Amino acid sequence: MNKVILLRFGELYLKGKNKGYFERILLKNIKENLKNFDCNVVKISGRYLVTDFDEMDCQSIIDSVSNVFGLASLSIADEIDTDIKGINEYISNFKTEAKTFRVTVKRADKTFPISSNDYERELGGYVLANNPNIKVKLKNPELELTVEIRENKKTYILTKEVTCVGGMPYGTSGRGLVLLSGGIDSPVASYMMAKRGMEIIGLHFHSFPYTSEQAKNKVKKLAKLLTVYTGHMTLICCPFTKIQEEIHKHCAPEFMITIMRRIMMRIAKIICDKYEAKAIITGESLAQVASQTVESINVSNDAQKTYPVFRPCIGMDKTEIINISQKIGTFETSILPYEDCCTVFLPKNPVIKPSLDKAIKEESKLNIDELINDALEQLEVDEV
Amino acid sequence: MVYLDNSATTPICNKALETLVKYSSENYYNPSAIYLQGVSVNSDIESAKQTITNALGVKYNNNLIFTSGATEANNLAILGAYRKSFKKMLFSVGEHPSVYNVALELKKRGVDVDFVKLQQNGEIDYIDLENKLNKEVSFISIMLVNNETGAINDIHRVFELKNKYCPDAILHSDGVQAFGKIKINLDFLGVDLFTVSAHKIFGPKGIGALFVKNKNLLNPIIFGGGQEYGIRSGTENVGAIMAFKSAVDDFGNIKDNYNHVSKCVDAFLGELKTINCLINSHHSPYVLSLSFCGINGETLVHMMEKRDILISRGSACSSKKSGNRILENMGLTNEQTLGSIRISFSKNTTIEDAIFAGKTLYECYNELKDRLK
Repeated sequence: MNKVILLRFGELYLKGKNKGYFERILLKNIKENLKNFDCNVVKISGRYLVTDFDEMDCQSIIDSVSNVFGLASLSIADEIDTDIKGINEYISNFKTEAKTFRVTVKRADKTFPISSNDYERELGGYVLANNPNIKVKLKNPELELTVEIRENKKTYILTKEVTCVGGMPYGTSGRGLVLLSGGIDSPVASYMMAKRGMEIIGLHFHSFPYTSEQAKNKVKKLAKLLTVYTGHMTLICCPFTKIQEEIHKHCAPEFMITIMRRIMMRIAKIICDKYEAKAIITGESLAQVASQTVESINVSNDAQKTYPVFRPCIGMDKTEIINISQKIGTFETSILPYEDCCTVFLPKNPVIKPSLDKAIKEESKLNIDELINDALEQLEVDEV
Repeated sequence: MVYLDNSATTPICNKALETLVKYSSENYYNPSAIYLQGVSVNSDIESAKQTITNALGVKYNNNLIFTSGATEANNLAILGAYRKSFKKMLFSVGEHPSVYNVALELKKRGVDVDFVKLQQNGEIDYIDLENKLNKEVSFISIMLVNNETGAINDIHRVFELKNKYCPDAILHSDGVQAFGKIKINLDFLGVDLFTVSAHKIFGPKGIGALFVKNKNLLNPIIFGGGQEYGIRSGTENVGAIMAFKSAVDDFGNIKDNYNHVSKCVDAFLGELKTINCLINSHHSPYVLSLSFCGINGETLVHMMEKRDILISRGSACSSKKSGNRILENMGLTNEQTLGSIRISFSKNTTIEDAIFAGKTLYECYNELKDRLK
């Protein structure tokens, strides 16, 4: 008998002919996630199995692998050969403190000679015989003893199911570029899109000397924290100082943020071209701040129309975003109090409902192409 | 590179480094061991204590306890001295976080804790202190030199006031920024407890000490094998202790150093010419706090950094928090606080470095003003 961890995938079932592609990527992601553990990961029909691990690592493996997008649930299971005598013997020796139970047989191996229903009853009888105070309860029993008879001629016996993070395998939904400010929202937005299978690369704008190396390190740390889910991440840091200074010098102060956002979108578009990303992702939430009103979003969307802008937090309250941020482990880092490039040069009265015409007029005072090209020449790219 | 953040820390001097290596590799024995090597290391520690107490102007009489640094020494001074019978404890509002936050913690636990205000020059407000002193006061902690402004508190005056109103109160002073920089005589200051640290005076990090006039004043806050008179258990950090001693041996002449650093500061300030900045305090030449209007001090720090000059915004220990408790309590406006920087010199700072740093700060300031126009 071997202890194994049985991994079940979620939505992949829906993916018809592409199922193989999704399964291969998911297997790769699981292996990447568990690379620091001494164990094997294999694919069997309809399941993945983690085998040959040290029992001491079992909980750590579960904690880690339950973060892999695309997995719906997992269970610790005893693996035995599919042999009626062996299975019967195992169940006959099964001891439990539970007061009520049921046996569920999943007969994926259709060559197994007894039907699921019949076998459930037979095995239930063994449990009753060995545990005098227990009763059968088919709905909501205290203990559900599941016997999975798989095609690989192995049978898996388990009692508990741990819910995993769900979503789609990371890397199966194209690539997106997230604007990472260092605040609470953008890591949450990254997580949400990554959960839908989108590979994430990060773009951070920094304004040295108005912002510090600490602020940049904070963003790197956030990107690193996201790799718990993504495995790896490319982070691109783009200098924004000169652009902010020029806006500050030439444009109406209330348009500072509006024009910054428009230039950020243009830079993001060029980086998407270069890195073959197919969408821009932001952490915006409607009406959270002046730059996140529907009018402001319209004006910033106008700056580039090549790529869709995904805003997964758009309909969420701050507290909802914070809850996710805490759940995914980025909150503590997000609230470190370093200036981010949006807080420098903050106007006293930013325009809340900017008109596109006015924004374009203000922006025409700048040599935008030259500013953008200068910034692009100084990109720093990190693999975190 | 010009390093002008010596109040945050200093590089270890060669002599201390050699000692650290020697006592970590050759003389690595546990000072509690009963064989000759252990006994010998134990007496070396005694000699380190002698050196340090002498530098504090007092005789060595089993009255120095080594700790993991000044933060622990300050915690030991306050929490180790604290008794349930204490009626009131007084702290200055300008204390280092390793004192101030202990005071806040005690307050949270229900102890009657009060804070003495600061004057505009960064010193404590002696009138406020006198108003707050009465026979109920059981413990007073006022630092000797402020780490953010260099303001020097008149601890002897605090001692005299204490004797007038509450002679039995315990007097502690955090001497981290004073030790090795200004002349100290603990008998004259009248303190019962005094904190020092090695890494501010070219010693290693992770070692500090608490002078204790009368060991009965202290209960341990760390329990174990009974080292350090049972007050601070834990195998002695022999390498760091001996390196601390070497750093103290290597001080040089305090008065000469003081004069040299004063000249550095004058040379530095001379380069700032017409810049309209506020000198927040001008007591200890080792620490210079300046405030500029209309700019963010942090930006200046980064611009200087780019030009290879390291200075600080406020103190390194509190730079992770927004605002600045000390400057705000001295009455600086928000704008002045935001625009503040700290330049801290050492005996090793050269006049050339000081001039170069002053010139660079002048350029950075003007450049920044221009960029923000």
